[in-house]
Amino acid sequence: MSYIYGFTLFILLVSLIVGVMRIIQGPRQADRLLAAQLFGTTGVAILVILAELQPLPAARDTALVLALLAMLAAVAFVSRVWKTTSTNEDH
Amino acid sequence: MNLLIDLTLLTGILAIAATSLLSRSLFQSVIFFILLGLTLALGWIRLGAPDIALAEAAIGAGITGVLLLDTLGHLKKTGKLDKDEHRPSYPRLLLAILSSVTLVVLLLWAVFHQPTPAIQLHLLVEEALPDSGVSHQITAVLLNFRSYDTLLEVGVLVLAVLVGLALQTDQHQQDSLPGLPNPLLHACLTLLVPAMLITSMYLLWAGSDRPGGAFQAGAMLAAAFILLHLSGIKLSAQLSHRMMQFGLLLGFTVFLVVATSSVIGGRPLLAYPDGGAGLLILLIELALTLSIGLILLSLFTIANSPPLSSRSGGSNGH
Amino acid sequence: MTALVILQSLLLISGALMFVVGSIGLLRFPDTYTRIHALTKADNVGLGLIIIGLIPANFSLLVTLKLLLIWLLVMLASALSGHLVAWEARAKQVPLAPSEGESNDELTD
Repeated sequence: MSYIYGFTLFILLVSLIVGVMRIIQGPRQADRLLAAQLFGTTGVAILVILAELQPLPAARDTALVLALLAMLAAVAFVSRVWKTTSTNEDH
Repeated sequence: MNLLIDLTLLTGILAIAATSLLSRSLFQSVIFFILLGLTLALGWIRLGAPDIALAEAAIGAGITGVLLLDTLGHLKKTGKLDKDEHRPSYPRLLLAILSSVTLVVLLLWAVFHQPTPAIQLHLLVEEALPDSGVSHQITAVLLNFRSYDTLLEVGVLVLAVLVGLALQTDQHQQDSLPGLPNPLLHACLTLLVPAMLITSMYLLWAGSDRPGGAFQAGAMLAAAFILLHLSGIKLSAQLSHRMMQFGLLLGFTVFLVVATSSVIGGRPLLAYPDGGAGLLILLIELALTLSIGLILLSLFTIANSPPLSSRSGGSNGH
Repeated sequence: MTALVILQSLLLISGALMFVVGSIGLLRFPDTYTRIHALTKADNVGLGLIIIGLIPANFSLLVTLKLLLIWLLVMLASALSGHLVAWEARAKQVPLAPSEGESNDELTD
């Protein structure tokens, strides 16, 4: 079973690397933020699997904290950064 | 398999840190900094240090990211940042690289020159755990065996607020960003904010026998306040200053009262009475949670709120 | 290998593959609106499959409830942030990708 957990973790880490490419490419700030959002969810998935693999039940608490704080960055981005960015420099 | 995962994670952390430092766009740097906090939390879990992972997830991936995004918005609004682009200043970059390399070398030296025989601190902690009043080692160390560490931690936060206050005095403009008038967001807040408050209390309670504790709970509390603040449910400037003062006072006072009362009672500084340690620790942690939450929130709001002399009030209350 | 382990492995690996699909979608879709679509699929289905796959690992009621709570919160967060980004993108009149032909990916910063 731990082999399966390890394999799943590896696939998730690979998907993170694919997501990072979108952050580097952009082209808009919103695209970068969306990629970061996906990163957060993948982090939650990795944490719940690590909780079984290690085994370390507290990793689930960390996943809970991450899940609760996941939308904070999006709200801050939309309300603070994007509102003040003019459309032609939004890259 | 484990080695492969660890190596991927390690390479990822290093690559993300480097990209965050070197990228030309400030926004991209901030995004990579948030990712760094997240991957560091994963790394701490891999190292079996869930207490730090919890703090890193709440502070690094959560609050610091929002603080940086808010700063970026503020810089853009005030026109101090013409374009979202910056060239790394090379002397500064060199200094940063030099100091971090020095730190890494020192750490490596410390790891490879551990005193022999190694001091078995964890065995000492294990031995004294029944006397500490809690059953989680980290909490026992932080709030009983080495409780002055926690006192100084609050001191550091107070210092940060002082710096924030110093920055505030030459900014005579109001926070003109009205928050988000989005109906779905406000509907979700009624679910999310209670969930955050409950999780905060859960983390506080968990601290006595599992990873968790005042700092993580305080960060969660602050995140709930910040979410409300961002979506436009703001306190008036006066109330926000009061809350900050209250938060600053509360943590210090409770800790100092507990500390000095033990001196008056004839015990050494910060020594808890026999038997009452568990209850006292819970009390201190509760006060510290509130205090840390309010301090972190005021760090966030202080730069944007108008100074007391020119306040206009009139925001919708809480 | 029992049937349960096989089921668990299938759920876990298909969940992880869902994340890969989401990432590829994020990379390949031409504009912000369609990328939101890719993102939320990975969040809801991928994490959901992984969490359902993890429940049999320890049949404890509290752990199961906590896992389901995490899933629910992540779905709420991704729905909310997807909505906020789309809402603001529409308000700022972020252009849609041209339906046929070139994507606007050349506009890197």
